[in-house]
Amino acid sequence: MKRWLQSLRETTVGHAPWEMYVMRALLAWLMWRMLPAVVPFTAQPYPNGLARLADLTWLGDPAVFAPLRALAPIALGLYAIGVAPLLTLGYGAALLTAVGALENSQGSIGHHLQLLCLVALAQWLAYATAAVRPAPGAPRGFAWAPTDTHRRAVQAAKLMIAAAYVTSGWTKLIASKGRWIAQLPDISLQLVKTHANVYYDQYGMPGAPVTLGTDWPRLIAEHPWLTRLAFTPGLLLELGAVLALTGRRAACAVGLGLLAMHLLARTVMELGFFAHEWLLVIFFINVPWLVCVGLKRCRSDAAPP
Amino acid sequence: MLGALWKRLPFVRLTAAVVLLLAAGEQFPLTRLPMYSTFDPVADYYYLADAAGRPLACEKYFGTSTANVKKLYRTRLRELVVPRGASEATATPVERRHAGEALLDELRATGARRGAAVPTGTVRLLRVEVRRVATVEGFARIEELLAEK
Repeated sequence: MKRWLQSLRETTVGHAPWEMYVMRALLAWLMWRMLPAVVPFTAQPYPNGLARLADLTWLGDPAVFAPLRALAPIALGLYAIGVAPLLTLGYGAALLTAVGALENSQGSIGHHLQLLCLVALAQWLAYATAAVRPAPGAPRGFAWAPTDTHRRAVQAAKLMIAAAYVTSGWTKLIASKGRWIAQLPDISLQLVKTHANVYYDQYGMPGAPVTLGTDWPRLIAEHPWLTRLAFTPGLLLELGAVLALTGRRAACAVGLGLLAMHLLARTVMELGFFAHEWLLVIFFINVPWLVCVGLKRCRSDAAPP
Repeated sequence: MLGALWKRLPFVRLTAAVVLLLAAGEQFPLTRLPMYSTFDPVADYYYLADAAGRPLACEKYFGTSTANVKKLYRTRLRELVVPRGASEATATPVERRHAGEALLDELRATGARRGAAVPTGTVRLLRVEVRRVATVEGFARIEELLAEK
């Protein structure tokens, strides 16, 4: 036990270059996917975060935003193949963060973009640190970052994802004054709300729900202990997300657990966090590595003794 | 002593990031991720309808979500009531109507810029309060017309 506790420390995984190509390509796709086609806001009546430091309303001008958006796939494509990440990732991260800050400056705080922006900014910071203070003997590469720098950037992404989930866990404990698990049965009312939101968002549209749907909320209200049993592991997983920083296998296990939590929320609450789910798939679960391990195991099983 | 303790922490960088996120609160891109961090015994949701009371699909007609409509409305209501030392719960019907009407104007404007099929006729903003009750459905819904314009 003592040895296990002593082994609990942050470890930078020695990802292969091809793994990191896949990670960058998927992150670039995700950033492009989350960038809106138009920014409908021409004012920032309730400046939030970055918008408190700068006026971002120019993004609402289609003549400005359209060319900026058109440049994004080029920058992100170059980042995916590893060209000048300080510039290419920096461009994508800055644009997405500015759009998110303007969106959140309308008097309504959404949470679909923050983690993605934080991950992109954390990666950028890792590249910037390596550019300013390269490791002993490492080249000061601006156009092509060395493999070790890419590894640090991947580690920075993992660290930010883990930190966000741990923060979310602590927020639940702090905001509920430690009564989150006790309050859980009242989540049934939140379910009534989220189901109604989807119903009225899509009313009469193809594939829209035809009723307000109270089956799940009623089930939860009638079985408070089952509800606690189903949702408490989510809180424990969030608080334990720190373990994802200890190695590949731990990251994969934590990632699968957190993804299952999101899929449960998507099914029961009709509440999806698309970017969060994909960040877990890209950096924690690391599907290409899983496939590689699976293939190796199959080959070794098939090999003659 | 604090420095020595800090160095002994197994996840120093993560701890620093968590402390930063918790301390900064909601300042984009920083966040505490407060979604569903507490559950009240009452919940409410908002929706939009036409003059006849038929619901209007928020995504189709305004290019946004009803969850967003709720947050936008509450911010505008707070802006009206806080200067006189009141809260959302003690807002007068007139203040609630004014906040709702301002929001409907804004939803039409941003919806048009998004290319949504913004309706030209009267639009109603409604709020529904939900509570748990001992009935077959298990929930009671109380509907309130906030504004129409």
